Amino acid sequence: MTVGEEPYLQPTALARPRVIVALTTLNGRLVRTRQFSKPMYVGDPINAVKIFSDKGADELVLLEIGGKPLDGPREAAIRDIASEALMPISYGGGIRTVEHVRAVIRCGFEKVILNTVLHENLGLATQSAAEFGAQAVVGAIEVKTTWLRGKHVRTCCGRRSTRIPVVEWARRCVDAGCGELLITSIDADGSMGGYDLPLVSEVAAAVSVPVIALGGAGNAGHLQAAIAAGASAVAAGSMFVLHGPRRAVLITYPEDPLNGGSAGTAGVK
Amino acid sequence: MIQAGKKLSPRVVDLGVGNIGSVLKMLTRLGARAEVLTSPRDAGRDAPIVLPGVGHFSRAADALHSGGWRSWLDAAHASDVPILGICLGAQLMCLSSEEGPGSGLGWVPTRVCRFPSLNAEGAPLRVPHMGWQPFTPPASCFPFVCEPGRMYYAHSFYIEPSADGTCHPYQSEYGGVRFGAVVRARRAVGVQFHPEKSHRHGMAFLRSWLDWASKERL
Repeated sequence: MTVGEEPYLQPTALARPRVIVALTTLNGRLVRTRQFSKPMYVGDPINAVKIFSDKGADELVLLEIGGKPLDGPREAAIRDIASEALMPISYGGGIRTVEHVRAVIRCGFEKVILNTVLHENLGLATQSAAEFGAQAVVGAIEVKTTWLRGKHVRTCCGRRSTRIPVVEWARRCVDAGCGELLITSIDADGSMGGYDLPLVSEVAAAVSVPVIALGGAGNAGHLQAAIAAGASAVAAGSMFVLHGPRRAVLITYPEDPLNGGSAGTAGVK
Repeated sequence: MIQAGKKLSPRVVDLGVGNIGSVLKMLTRLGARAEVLTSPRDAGRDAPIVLPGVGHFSRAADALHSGGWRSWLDAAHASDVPILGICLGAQLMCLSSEEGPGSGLGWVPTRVCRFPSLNAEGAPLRVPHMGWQPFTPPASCFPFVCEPGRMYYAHSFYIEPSADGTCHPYQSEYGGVRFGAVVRARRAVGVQFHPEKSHRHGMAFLRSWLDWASKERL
């Protein structure tokens, strides 16, 4: 057993920001949405996760939008999904209690994503971070712009509006223990026309934890723009699941997603 | 090399904090028959040991002490049983942590520190450090051969590196802060990254460790 006297220093110049695949399920079925509505069935989540895992995707986010609290059958279903992921995977949707948080972690997820529940009980972030570490707690903030209210935070999968300013809410989530924020623009969801960059930079400038941008990505240029705006990581759904102007279902994850790179593709079913 | 088809039985320490599911999943995929230990009492002393961990340093340090793990792990370490510490498991091999009170195993004479809020240029440093870094260790880093690739990191605290490469053969940087990516003490290896969440790269690493560890003990 010989070890060099001088430690080796890893060159990290080639490290690139994470490009995360965001998958949405409605009652367990994989769907794509536009502006959080018009769910379109795109396939089986287990198979999709397996394909993204084979393609070496950086990370996965799984969001259930059915709105029901996590229960036994859902827990069993997401355990099967997590078992296909050989990379970090987080879960959000219907997490209401610390028991739910423990159940999701036990299922094999690295992180829990908390949204609606934080508006009723911000302490759940604190409690979860104390038990599993801040890196395991993601605060999700979903933002919509309306003529009447301007840019505001929404809960319950976009159905309920709140009066809290986005930046103030972001700070409170981080103070409570969230180790990461997932910032979604509801307006840009499914548009594939680019992220809400002002939203991304506003939140990124206000907090000290990594910020993930979600909603609107359609190409590698969009991903780079969000990084330039201050996002630590970028997430996309439609971009990796839909293909072409007719939005045919085709799973892709390029070898070098930030630069478009050579794409590997596969049907989902 | 181990014989084809031979099942290995590494023992995975379950301190009752955090999550050991991912590690078990990966070991099973590698064909190893991992045994979960919830108490050192039901444990023999031979097979390689995996000390995984996510969670809070103090809670884990408490569990090491109250669960009776400390003396059992010390004995295994002293008799050169191969041990692999992952993330918090690697940090537990050190003396102490700024995350909270409690002592680690102390096999690696260094502390675990909190990432500063500013990077080397004075700009805010985003903590936790979360993401992938290239993995290109030179041959001398590990007592086994490792393929280069990339590895996933997720940590708010880092192992303070020392200029002496004996315990700290492999270091990396985040925001200009140098940290111990790998620590070594006798046949114990601690890694700050998560091989169990690093695709085929992490799988290859774990396979190399398993092959080496079982050869060491067989």
